[in-house]
Amino acid sequence: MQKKKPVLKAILIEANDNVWTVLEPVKAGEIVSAGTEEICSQEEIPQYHKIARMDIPCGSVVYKYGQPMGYATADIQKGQWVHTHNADSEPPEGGCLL
Amino acid sequence: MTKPLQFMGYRRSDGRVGIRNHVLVLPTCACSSDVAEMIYRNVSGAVGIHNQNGCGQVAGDRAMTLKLLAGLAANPNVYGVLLVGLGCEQLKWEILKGAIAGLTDKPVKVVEIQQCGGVLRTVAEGKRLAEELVAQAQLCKRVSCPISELIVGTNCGGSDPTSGLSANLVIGDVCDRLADLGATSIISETPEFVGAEQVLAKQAATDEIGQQILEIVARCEQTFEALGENIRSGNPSQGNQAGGITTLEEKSLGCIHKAGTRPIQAVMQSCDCVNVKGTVVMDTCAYDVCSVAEMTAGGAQLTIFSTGRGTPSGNPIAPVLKLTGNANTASWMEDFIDFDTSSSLRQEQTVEELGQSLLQMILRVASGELVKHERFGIGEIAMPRLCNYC
Repeated sequence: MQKKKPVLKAILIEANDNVWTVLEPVKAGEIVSAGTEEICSQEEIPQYHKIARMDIPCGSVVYKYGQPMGYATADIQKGQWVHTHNADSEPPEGGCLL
Repeated sequence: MTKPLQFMGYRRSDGRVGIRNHVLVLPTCACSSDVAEMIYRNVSGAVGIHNQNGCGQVAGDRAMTLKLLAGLAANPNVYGVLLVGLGCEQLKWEILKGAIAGLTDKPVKVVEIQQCGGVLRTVAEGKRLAEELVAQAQLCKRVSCPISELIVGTNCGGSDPTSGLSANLVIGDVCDRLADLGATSIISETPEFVGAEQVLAKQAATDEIGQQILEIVARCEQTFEALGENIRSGNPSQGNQAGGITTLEEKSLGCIHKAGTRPIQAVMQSCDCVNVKGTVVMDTCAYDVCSVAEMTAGGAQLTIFSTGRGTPSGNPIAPVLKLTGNANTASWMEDFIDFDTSSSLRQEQTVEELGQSLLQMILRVASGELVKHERFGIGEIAMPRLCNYC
């Protein structure tokens, strides 16, 4: 019998948010869930940091608490870690590379 | 009819109610601060601060220092004040004494280093005067006071994402309860409204108050821009970011949960004497030890304070009740965490249940129970400046 993969918990704050907050440290390939939704993590994510709930193209708005909290400064894929390396208060200077 | 919630406080002759009965030793400038410390460290019942300012200041900056110090002296947790002057400083004790007299009729005594003749004579005379004040203070007795006499500051420091997801929600719940009970809570730290100011402005009781919220936030950003600085170079801190907060906007959106949901009744300037019931905003900086001092100068008898990373800081005059939503911080640094809200993230307790129990703790602290930083004797302040902290 195949062992069921453990599911790690995350919090979705508002319905229109495109990030979740993970409540436990997450390793690449682990399944993270908020409510009925599940995401496969693409990389290691520290506890209480953000995971992309969907693809967030470079230059588009990152939503948390239902509000804009900044912009993606690189293309972010669903399941990736969202932090200062790929998000900022301002959109990337000079635009996004195609 | 159920009896309104009460606590045991000190009713002062100026009509305000204190929850502590300190004698405050207040240096007029940096040059007299160590001498002031030699006095208050050696008199049981006395507390004090270090004053980094008081000289070498332009007029506008000096006015901010004067307003803070006079407000701290007037705080109802203070029975009486001993001013420790140098003699040649800008902020002479006469000026400070005059400003305190404009706010309260409590006793104020003075020593001056250049007039007393050196450190040893000033410390001896200062100790004698401080001990006299403590003896008078001890005659004050706690009496039953309605919860509506409470002015509760709110603050966050060393935030991480749990602050916005847990601890600040519990603070907001308590602010709603305080407003409903006729008490006051203060939402502060203007730089941490940036990016969330539209949400906060919608909570204002009137359009005019909403406009004032937008104005203090715009002015805050412009002040840094005028200096060629970006507020975001100092906030969020590296520690906030290591904890998982990416941008100032994200931090602000978590911070404003402290305001709860009741209408915001007023926007006050830094250190303004708070005389409005319900939830009010005070325009302070966001360096926590400074904003706590500003609210204390405005009359807050205690502050409820969320931390994610964990900070032991406290205020020497008004207890700072420390909350965390971070379970690791709550256990690893339990010697300075007063209230753990992490059960809300594990969905073991609701925010409302935690808010109810925090309100009970506030009443106990108001009645004399010490918070953890007080047990250590920890109490720091920073002072607001023209070129302010962010």
